[in-house]
Amino acid sequence: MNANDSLLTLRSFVTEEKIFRLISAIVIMAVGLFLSRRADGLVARLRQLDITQRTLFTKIAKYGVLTIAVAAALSQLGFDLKVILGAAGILTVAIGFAAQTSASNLISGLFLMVEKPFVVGDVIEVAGTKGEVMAIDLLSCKIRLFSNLMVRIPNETMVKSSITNQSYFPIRRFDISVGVGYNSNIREVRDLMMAAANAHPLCLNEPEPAFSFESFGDSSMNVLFQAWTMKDSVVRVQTDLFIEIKESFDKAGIEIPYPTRTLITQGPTA
Amino acid sequence: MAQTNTFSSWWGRHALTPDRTDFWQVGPLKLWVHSSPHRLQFRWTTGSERPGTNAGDFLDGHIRSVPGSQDPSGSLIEAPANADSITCAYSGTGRGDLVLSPSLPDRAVVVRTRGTVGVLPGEDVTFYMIVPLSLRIELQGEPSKLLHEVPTYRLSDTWFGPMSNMGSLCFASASELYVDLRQVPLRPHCAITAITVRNLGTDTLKMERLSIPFARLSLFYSQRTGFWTDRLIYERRDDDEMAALKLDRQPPQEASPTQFVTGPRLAVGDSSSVVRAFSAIFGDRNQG
Repeated sequence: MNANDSLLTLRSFVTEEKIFRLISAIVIMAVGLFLSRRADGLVARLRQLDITQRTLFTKIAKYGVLTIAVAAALSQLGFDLKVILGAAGILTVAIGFAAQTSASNLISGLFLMVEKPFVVGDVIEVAGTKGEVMAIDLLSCKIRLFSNLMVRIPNETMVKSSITNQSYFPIRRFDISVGVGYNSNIREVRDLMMAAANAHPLCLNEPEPAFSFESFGDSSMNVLFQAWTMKDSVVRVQTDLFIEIKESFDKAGIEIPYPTRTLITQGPTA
Repeated sequence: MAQTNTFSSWWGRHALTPDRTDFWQVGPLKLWVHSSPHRLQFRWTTGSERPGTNAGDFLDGHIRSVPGSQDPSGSLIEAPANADSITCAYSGTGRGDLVLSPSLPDRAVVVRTRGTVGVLPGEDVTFYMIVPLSLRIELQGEPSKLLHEVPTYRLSDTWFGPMSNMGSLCFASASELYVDLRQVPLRPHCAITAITVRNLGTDTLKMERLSIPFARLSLFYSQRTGFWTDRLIYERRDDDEMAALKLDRQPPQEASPTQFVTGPRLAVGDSSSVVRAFSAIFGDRNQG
């Protein structure tokens, strides 16, 4: 076969119709890629969605548009989609068996997004891990610890575990337990703790702070003081109150005793 | 009325001089402003119940404006070490005009009555309360630039709602509700609000606390009695579940003559009447 024959064979293969189909497929893919990249902006316009739902819908829109574009481009190139879909079905079953954990995480992720026990930015405690939620993805949640470490927790674990969300309600109560010496005036102790709370502008007047007597301990009378503040101010207000209470106790001569034990020695019995 | 001070006009325009610190006292608030080229530094101590904060008393009615921070005896009025501070960078030379203006709190204020107060059916009772103002500090220009806003007295936070998960963050009033206007302490850093409670129900309306939406009120000034807000009218209807809050959009008759100072922080909308759940105004009567 000489060069002319090869050229003729190539010409008979590359028809105008095939070139048109190839260009169409390229255009479809280009449009698909463009739209999938714009998905973030388009979903962001739906203001009623929170950040978690927006992330989910962005991903669905992005990959959905890409899948449709690939299918349309392949169809344009003359591929039989039925065969591809059949192969994809078999592949899906095989992947499904191999990736049961991922599928479980995926479904758990959808449950988390629908139930919304927490949102991005909340401070939660789950399975012994406490930190701020950075992301709720389809397979896992990313938690930033207060030591600035990232922990990835599979969604299945999140669904199975009990979660404490410290940011769910706008206000929070914090407790201060303290033991005072048996020679202290317990009414004065109560008044000083109440005064410290009332004087702090971030400590809520209502719900009112509560003072309760817990127990007569081995070395001290144990009392519990409970006050409320906004969820973001807990550490600050609690620390301020610790300082105020300690200083006011010191001024009033109220002792916070060390554990003490009285030993009574007996002389030798006759 | 228990007046302790003349209402010298502490608010308005003040000329800045480069490399000089000026001092103002507005009630319990003490403010130092140091002007220098490209830099304005503000230091202040505000009134608060918190000990150890150089706190001024809520009812401290002193007003002073001391250019150069030098009192008549020649001694400098210096900011304490624990004063709050903020520095604003700008392109100016240190000259210019600073505008100090009063503003109302940006949250609702919850005021408690002395024990339970009952308003008899068919009665119309007017109560009065005072609320400390904030100081808006702006740099004169077109448009003027807000540099900072500082309260003359830091009110304590409180929660107003039927439950700890339902309600809103408010300020707790340092004032009480007065029935007699003559008992209201007049202070140059506070505004007086008249609240008329109208009981259209068939039984006595018992009140222990009241939420006042100051962010929706305008501020007025009277040469004779100081600052006033719009009059509020709470109308308790027969069904007991809903109450109407009406804004009079003017101070009460007893304040006049007044001049308008500033509008509300939040848009009031076209309607001056807002129907709200009873508990959103008077609190849950089953609660403490």
